[in-house]
Amino acid sequence: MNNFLELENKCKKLKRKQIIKFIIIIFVTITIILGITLSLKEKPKYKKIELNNTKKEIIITKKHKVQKDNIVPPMMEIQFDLNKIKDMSNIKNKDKKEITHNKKIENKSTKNKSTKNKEKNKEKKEITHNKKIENKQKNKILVEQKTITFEKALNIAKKAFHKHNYQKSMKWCKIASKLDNEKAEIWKLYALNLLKLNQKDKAIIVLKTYLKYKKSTEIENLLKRLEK
Amino acid sequence: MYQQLIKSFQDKINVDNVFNSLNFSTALSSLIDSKSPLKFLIGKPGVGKTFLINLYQKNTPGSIIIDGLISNEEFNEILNQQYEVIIIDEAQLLNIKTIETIRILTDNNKYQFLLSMHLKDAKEILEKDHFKSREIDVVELKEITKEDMIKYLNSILFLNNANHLFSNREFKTIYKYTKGNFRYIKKFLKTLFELLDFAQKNKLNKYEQINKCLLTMTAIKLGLENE
Repeated sequence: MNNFLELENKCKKLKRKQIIKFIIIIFVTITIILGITLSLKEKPKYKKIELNNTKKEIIITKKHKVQKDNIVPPMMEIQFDLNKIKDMSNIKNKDKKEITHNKKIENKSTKNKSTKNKEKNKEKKEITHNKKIENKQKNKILVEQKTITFEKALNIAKKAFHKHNYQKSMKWCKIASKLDNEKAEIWKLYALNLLKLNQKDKAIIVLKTYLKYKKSTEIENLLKRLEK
Repeated sequence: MYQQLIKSFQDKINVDNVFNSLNFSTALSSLIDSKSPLKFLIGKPGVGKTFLINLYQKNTPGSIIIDGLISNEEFNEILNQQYEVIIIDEAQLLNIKTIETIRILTDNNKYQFLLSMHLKDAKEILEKDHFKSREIDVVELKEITKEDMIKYLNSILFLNNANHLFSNREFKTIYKYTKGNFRYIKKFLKTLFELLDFAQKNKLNKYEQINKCLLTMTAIKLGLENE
């Protein structure tokens, strides 16, 4: 029994080891949990998406410029959306502003990270949120485009017009225009929809924009009647 | 006070003092009921195989227990005596010749053999062709359950008026270390009482009663706990 003290010491060592193990396990689990929560909060992917979106929009606007040069009617989605027509230049400026704004934010972040991080995140989130919604709408239309032909879209637009569902009709006019934006019929139908919705001015603008690129007696006659 | 308890947990086989656990009684009854000329009692080391074969021998007239280290000549001598049942402990130690004679003798149905051996070795022997083709009864003795261990310990502690020494928590810890192995249980209790005895004699107040540290010390001494 000489080794009683030795055993006692071993027991104490073992206890210490167990306590250390326990502390380490707790520490590791806490750090893992914290790491996961922080990584979820930060979400660095947002930045990339934001930048990509702005780039994409720039590319789209550039494409429109090229189309104008080739004298082809523009995409109805952009032309018909009168809010966009009015704010076309504003959108471009906005894009530029956003890009410059992002750059500024990035530059600022390098200088004053601690003070303005929260504000930046809020702004970024708002911008990305708006763009996400726009993209979703665009994507929906694109999906519909893949599965539908021009004739079908036109028919749906016509049926909706006859059923006095002008919003739906306008939506399908946009889809049809994406498939073939040179046909006067669809532009005429869109203008008629606007007329029914008491938006005569917008209807005139739409018809005029078509005539800039293409000649059509049908459209000309309609425009004359509206202007009278 | 603890000397009597230390003696009680010494690794000695006392067939008169039987603890009837469920494992034991089922294994014993299946050995007695079996009429196969060749029987195997298998189990991990320390589960109580030797104790069981001693108990079986007590219940079987005309039986003898021999060791696996027996030579072929000694074995032949025993065969010449008038034994009907030959029990071989640690049968994994038998030489090939003796195994071969056992195999041939079982065909005559003149003798009954009970071979007690470790689980691992038994698996190897039973997979050999000459044993595979024969009718063999295999009885496996497993470790006792926690409840059985508590009953067993209480029965011994009761005889020594020491029931008050252990709580349910301490029994759980003992089972955690010994895993129901009879030999380890006995060893554990013996060592624990030795430590208690030492503490009492040397007036180490901290260890005059069973506590967690004493149990850990016992486990360390027996190598059941890694340092």
